[in-house]
Amino acid sequence: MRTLAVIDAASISSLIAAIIELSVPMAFAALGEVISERGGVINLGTEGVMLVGAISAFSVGFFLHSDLLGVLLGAFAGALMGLLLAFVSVSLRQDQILSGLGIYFLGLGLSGFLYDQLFSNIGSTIRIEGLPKLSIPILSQIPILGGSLFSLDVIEYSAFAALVLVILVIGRTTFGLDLRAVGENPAAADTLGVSVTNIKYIAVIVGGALAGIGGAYLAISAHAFQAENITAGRGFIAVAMVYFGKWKPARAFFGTFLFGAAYLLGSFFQVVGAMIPYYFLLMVPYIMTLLILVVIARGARQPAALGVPYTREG
Amino acid sequence: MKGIVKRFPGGVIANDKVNFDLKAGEIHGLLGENGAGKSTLMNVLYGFYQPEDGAIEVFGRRVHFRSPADAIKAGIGMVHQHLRLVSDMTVTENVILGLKSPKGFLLDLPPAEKRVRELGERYGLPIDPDVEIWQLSIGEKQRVEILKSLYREARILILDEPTSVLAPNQIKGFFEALQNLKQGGIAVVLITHKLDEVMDITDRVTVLRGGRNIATQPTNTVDQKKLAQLMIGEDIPPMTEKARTLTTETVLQVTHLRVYDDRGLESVKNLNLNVRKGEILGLAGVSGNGQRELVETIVGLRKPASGSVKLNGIEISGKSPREIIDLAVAYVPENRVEDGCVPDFGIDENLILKDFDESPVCNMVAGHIPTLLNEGEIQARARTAIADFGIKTTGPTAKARSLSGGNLQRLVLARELGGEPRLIVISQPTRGLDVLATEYVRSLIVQQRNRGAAVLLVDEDLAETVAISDRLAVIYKGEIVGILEPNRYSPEDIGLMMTGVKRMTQEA
Amino acid sequence: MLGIKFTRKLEVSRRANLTVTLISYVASPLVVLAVLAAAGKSPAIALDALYRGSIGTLSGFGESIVQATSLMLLAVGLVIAFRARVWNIGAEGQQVFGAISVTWFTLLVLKEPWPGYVVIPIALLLSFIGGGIFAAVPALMRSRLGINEVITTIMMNYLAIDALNWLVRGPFQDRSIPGSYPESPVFPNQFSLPIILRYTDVTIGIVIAVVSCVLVYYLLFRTPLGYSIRAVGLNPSAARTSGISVNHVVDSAMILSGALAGLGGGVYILGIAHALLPEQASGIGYTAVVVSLLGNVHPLGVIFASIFFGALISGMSSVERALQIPETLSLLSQGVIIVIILIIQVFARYEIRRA
Repeated sequence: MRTLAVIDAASISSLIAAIIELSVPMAFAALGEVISERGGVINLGTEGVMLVGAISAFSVGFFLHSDLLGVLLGAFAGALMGLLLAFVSVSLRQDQILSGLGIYFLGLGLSGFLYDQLFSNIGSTIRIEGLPKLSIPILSQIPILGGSLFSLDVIEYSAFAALVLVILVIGRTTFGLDLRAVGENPAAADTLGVSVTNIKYIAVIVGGALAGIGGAYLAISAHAFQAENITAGRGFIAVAMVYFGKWKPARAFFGTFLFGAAYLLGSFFQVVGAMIPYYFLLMVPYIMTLLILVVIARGARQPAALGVPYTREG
Repeated sequence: MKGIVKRFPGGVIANDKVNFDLKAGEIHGLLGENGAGKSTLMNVLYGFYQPEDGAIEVFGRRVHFRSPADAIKAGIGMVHQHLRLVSDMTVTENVILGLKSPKGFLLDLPPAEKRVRELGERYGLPIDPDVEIWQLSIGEKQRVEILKSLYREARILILDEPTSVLAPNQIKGFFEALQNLKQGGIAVVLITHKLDEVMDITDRVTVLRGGRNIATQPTNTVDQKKLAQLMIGEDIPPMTEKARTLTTETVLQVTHLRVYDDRGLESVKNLNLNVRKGEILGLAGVSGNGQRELVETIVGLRKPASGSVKLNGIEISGKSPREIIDLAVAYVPENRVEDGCVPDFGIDENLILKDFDESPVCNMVAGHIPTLLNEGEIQARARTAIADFGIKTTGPTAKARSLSGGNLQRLVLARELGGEPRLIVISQPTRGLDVLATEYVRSLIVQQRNRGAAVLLVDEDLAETVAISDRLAVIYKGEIVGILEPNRYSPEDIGLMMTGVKRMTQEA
Repeated sequence: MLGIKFTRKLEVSRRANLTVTLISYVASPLVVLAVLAAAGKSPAIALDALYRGSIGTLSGFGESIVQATSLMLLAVGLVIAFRARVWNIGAEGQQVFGAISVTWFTLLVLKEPWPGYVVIPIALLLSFIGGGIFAAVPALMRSRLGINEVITTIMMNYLAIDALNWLVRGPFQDRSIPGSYPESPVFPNQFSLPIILRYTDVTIGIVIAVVSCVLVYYLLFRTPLGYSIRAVGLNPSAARTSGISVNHVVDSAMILSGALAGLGGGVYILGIAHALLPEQASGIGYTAVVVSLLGNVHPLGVIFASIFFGALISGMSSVERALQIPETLSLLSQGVIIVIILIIQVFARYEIRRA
């Protein structure tokens, strides 16, 4: 048996950095989904929204050489997808599961189609630049953790900022209050003059925008775009993490990191030279999620009005 | 309110050119039976419903409320029967929901909490603003609802059957709060069907019947008898001895039953009762005293913590609904639409809900194994039921959703009573039904009892319960505090027992 | 919103349903053409290719039927689940697992000289059982633990795909050929489903699919189990009160659904692929959700919807070849069609009036 490769501070550090990079897109999408679901709307099409975000960012990054503008466009495109979902599931009261899947297909097709339309004529290497890592002074000198946790790029830092923002918005703002009410007891909110429709729309659109940012970062961190493969189900996993995190933003957020870590287990073992087949290890994060779901199944209380379209009688 | 007309899909005219007026600082009772149109009228005032016709003036100004938000701005508040509270949020959060925060985007809870506490104390509705709603008792939740309106400086407060969830001794405190509100210059509309409340606390009373305003009078010019006459159009006789064969065979025996509700609170404690063959045992009590949990336990939808439920000597507590149904127990639930039928199924399909995998509805192989459904049988059963029970419908395949309340109840009864059950558990049998349907249902229940079934009747309509029951059991806080037989009790006893003031020693 | 009021109709007339469905059918190819026009391609060539690829030529027609076969089996399974309000998004994983089961059996008896009419039924049965077992996991997680089946079935999909990728590079890999290809050994001839339409790939798979739809129809509308499935889907509370075991029904619906998806995977691998390949995970499980919706979640409606959609897919491949555009066009059109169908369907269910 081969000796294990040296596991030193540097490789742990790069592992942590890799986990963060891998998980950030899911984390953004999960935050967006928390907002949407607390408002009572489940978005199964998050995967499609991320794809649209990815192609937007990639296009802008390639043609305009600005990754950050790409992220902006990604957010905007994601918001548009959210708007569509809101229209179909809130205004038209179509079933949320089916509408979400519709968004998924739409996003899948749209992103792939746009990629071909825009890039099929360009023969040479189609890559975009990534974003530079910004190190926080002093903190990044901490051994092992410092090199990775405090040397992130702008979007990665934003993810943590977004988490804090989302927690504050949900718990401490009037919008957050309205949102929670709409997701639990829309009749209560409606009676008091809260526009249930407006709140749901905003929630879904914001959710879409966040998922779009997540997708944008996928393209940026991968430096490339490939329809279907670039997200590899991470949008669905983000939705799963919301359930997993019991609709609390921080738990869902870090749930995605846990998932990312499990996912990289495969690469880790490959690097280290152990003889476990790669694809076999890829199953680990999914099995892990299922097992944890079983364990925490008791006491999971979802927003009472999740998945139910609201109609005022009379 | 002048000439208000409100129609609902399905052809129901809930309000038929109703006039209603309210003076400042008065408590105005809005009286009527179930379905008379009281809640509807007030929901129109509150902006929840839009009337087809009619005009509303508030403080002299013509208004048109498109939603409750408009009504709230005009100073109207309403406390519904089904409380509109968000369980996971605190009292304060529920109260300030929908209001602009002084800090703009951010919530400003401390001053709001303070104000909620102050308002509560001022009007005799004390509440802790920091508590989350799910932790509160129903009486406290009601206080929160009222505070919601007071916080918004309502001058008109509409209360829809507020005492239906209160125990009799809580009602006194509640009325005191109403007096406080009145002194504060707030006009109160009290929707109720309880005559004694109207007499106790209101200044004026309006009686609605069949969607029409029958009369509006100052309370001191009428008495209960007159009001009852106006409400129903006829008098209610007291409980009489029914002609029946006295048996001593006990069909249902409940002993020392203890049941927990969904919140983990003990809602049935040490409950003992029995129902004999050929008798109707009426269960009287303010809703929320354990009736629901008791009924669910008997029919198998809930498992008791301890105690026993025996059917003809067989222990049935803990058995599944299927097993209990197989022992010839019928159950007519209080929520006909949610629990009693499948609205999108036809009448024919609804009728086979309990025995669709048994002969003769289903063809069997080797006597045991169900194969295909027998369409002929199913249709025949549907036709028979429609004829026998007088279900007004377009045909056996008409969807249950298209049936009116009365006809839907006939459908449920047709299904439940079809198999000659030995125990019938019925909850709120005539809720929301018109007079004809109510008569019919009552006669059916009596018929079954004459046939020899044991009937457990759980009913909020005390007059009805008293009218048809052979014996009356009063439930209070999860225990049976008294069993009354005709001509052996005084009318005050019921009220006192329902309040928990008086108890009788019971025999099992 | 916008001064429009939605009221749920008391009775959704069959006519309304059919009208809406027909409009969906007609709208779909129009959507494809619109998308193409937007991309600046000639509609005339597109329309011609669409026609020839779907029903105009023998090979096109054959391809349509082939697509329809897999879709039909998966979609009719979904009908069972959806009628019970069990959201089985895991048809993809279940069909992959069905194919894996078949492969396992094939490799087991590779050297045996057993004839086709023996091995094929066994293989198909195994795919049926395999799909059912795969669906049992999310089924039990829902009925015993109350875990949302949408999430679990999606997880299982990825699990199946990874298992597939691992198996074709590992234990099931074909070692007899030089080089390292992610595929299993090619199945021997007796493992192929007989072809029923000469010069095409149409096998008895389509017959199996149609028969399955008819059987599911009888199951849902003529048997007690089907009755209980529909009752639970429409009003679980009333069903429970009437003695129906909701858990049992949910489990059954989910497992049957998975079994049919597994069968679909088996039919595909025995009829078309003839080996276990990574392409087995084609995403068809998700498309089947849309097809079942297009078929009004009715087993007979699914027959038409699958054939239609199969023709659409086949036609679009032909358009792609004719116009030299990549296959993402199909994906885009599918996406747009689905959203439009979802929007149109609302009109059948609700009365829309000015507020």
